[in-house]
Amino acid sequence: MESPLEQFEIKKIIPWQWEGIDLSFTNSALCMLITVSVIFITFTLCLHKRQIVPTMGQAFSESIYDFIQSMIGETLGKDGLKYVSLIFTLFTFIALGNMLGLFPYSFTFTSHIAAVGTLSVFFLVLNIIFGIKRRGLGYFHTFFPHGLPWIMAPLIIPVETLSLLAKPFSLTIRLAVNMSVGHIMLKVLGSFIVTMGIFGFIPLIADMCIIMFELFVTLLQAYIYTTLSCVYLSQAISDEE
Amino acid sequence: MKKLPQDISELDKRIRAAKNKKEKQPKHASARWVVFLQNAFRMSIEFVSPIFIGICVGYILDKWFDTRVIFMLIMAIFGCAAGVLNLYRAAQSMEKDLNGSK
Repeated sequence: MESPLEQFEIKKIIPWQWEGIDLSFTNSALCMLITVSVIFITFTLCLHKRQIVPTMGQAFSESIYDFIQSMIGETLGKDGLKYVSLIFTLFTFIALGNMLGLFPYSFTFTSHIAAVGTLSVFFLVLNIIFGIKRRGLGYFHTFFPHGLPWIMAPLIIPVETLSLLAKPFSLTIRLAVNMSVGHIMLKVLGSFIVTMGIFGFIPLIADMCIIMFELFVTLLQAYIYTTLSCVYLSQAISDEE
Repeated sequence: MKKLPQDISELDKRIRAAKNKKEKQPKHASARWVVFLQNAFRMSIEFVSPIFIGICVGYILDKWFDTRVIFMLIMAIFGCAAGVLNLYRAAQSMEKDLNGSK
């Protein structure tokens, strides 16, 4: 019987080595490409004829956009509305990546720390750039707030630096672990369906319930990831120290 | 199907009135449950992650300076402090959200 962890194995589809660096096109990259293509095609089809009275597809796209806009309004205020496109892209990419992973023979790239970690680190770098752009050198007061005696610097600066570095890590672990655990549980229960013979319907029902729960978790985790990204962005661009 | 009003400003007024009515409605119990679940996920990882990052940074510094576990211990303590700071900030933002939704 296959191990429940085999579903997370990275397989090379198009092997490619460049200067000793492995740049192969893998199943993870293929799933990311499918996710991006599905998002692009869906929104292009839904929004190619924009009308005042929206069609079902347009209403669907607008409702997602409205949801992201209200989420940004709550965390970042009116100043944050210029980041709607960035957060919208992040949310749709993660939500659809999570959901596509539920399909048989698919691959959940959001369960890989390398994939989600890269996205989180990229977002941290963007946060720093937006923070410096907005507040100039005042951004660095995040590491040493105004009014503190200089003698506190050796204590406060490492603590604040670790606090900043922990942000992408916490985002990554939360998403990757939740996705991995759900998929492992599905696979383990799935293996009982055959081995339990006539009583296989019991794990089958349990598996069906877990799939419904996983569907909810995929959206919840995408929502949590996006909300926390907004919170971190608001901390980076806010003038409060 | 209802006929669209001729005057677009009248339609705008109606949309605004409907939005205001929707915003005034209290949050549904299931929405609050999702928020609580999200906060629980957040609090647990906000505390642990700086400690882990601290230990990793300490390990790298120990390797670099060829010391034993001195940096690892120091950075783990800093990581604990950063974890508490993160928890405090997370609790502050949650309180702000809670007061805002009341």
